[in-house]
Amino acid sequence: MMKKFLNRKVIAAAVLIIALALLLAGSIRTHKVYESDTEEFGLLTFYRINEFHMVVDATFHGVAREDDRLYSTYDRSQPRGKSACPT
Amino acid sequence: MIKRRITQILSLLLLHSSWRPELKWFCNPVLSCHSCVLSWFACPIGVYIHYSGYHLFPFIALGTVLLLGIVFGKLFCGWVCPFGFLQDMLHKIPTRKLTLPKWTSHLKYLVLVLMVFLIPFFLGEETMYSFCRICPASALQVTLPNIFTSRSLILPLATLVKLMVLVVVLLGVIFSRRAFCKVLCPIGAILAPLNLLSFWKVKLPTDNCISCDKCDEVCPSTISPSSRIAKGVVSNRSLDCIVCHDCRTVCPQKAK
Repeated sequence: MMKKFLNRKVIAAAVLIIALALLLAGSIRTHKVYESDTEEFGLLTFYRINEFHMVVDATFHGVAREDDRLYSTYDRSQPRGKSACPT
Repeated sequence: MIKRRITQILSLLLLHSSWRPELKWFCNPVLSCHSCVLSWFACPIGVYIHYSGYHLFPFIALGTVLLLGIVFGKLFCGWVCPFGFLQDMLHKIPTRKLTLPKWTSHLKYLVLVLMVFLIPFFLGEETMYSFCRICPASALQVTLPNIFTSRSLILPLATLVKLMVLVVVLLGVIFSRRAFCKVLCPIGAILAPLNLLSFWKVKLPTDNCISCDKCDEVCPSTISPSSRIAKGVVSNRSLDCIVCHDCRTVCPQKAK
């Protein structure tokens, strides 16, 4: 019984550490999101956004994936109002 | 039980009180659609579906749910989730009550793996076969208000399917307590294993249980807390326990 209890505590502590590690990794991660409409000198322009911003974009389909690249579905240079996810 | 009801009502109001600001970088581990105009936080399922479509690993979204899950288990399901609250209220409608077969509680893991991760990964985040397309919380918070505001009588097939799922779920929970949580909820599927490990414990007097079975009678998840108490295990160490604490509230031995 004691052994089961200790095993549970150890696994719980491991999951806690993994959760904190995921949060730490996410907080320093960035993503390249391309503008779908604009090109300069034949090159696509892109924004570099952090993971928090990507989570927000995921709540209203602010990013779409095409050909292994992420494209913005809205103009990031303009202030964004409340948006609803089409799903 | 009154404390839980008050907490559920406050959660329902506070989670849907945003007049404009948003904190949608935070994934609240309850079933509440982030497309609702009043919502503050993100739904983790919607975020996972989009991340699967983007072929990205959801570090922040998964880390948040794991952190809250390992600390609190499924406490959010029993005390905060607005859809859980709706199910509790609907179940009070006096009808014949049924118990679902035990195998149905495994379906939510299939829903999680297929409709949240695999299908969006292969078919894209906008696929018609993701969980968001049938989510009953989304149907209530977003689809129905959109139908009323658009005043259109012609509904797309996808909307009709979503509304049908909502009707079936709402009818189901009238007859079987928290049926959606047990059978379909993908957030519940993620949090369920964490219930077995979480730091949160529902303390019951396991040494002087008198086997009155009052805890079994009140359990909303019908998971027989008495069977765990008899083995000296805390009552919330069950995959489907929503950590409501009703077993502790009714226990005649807890004060001794």
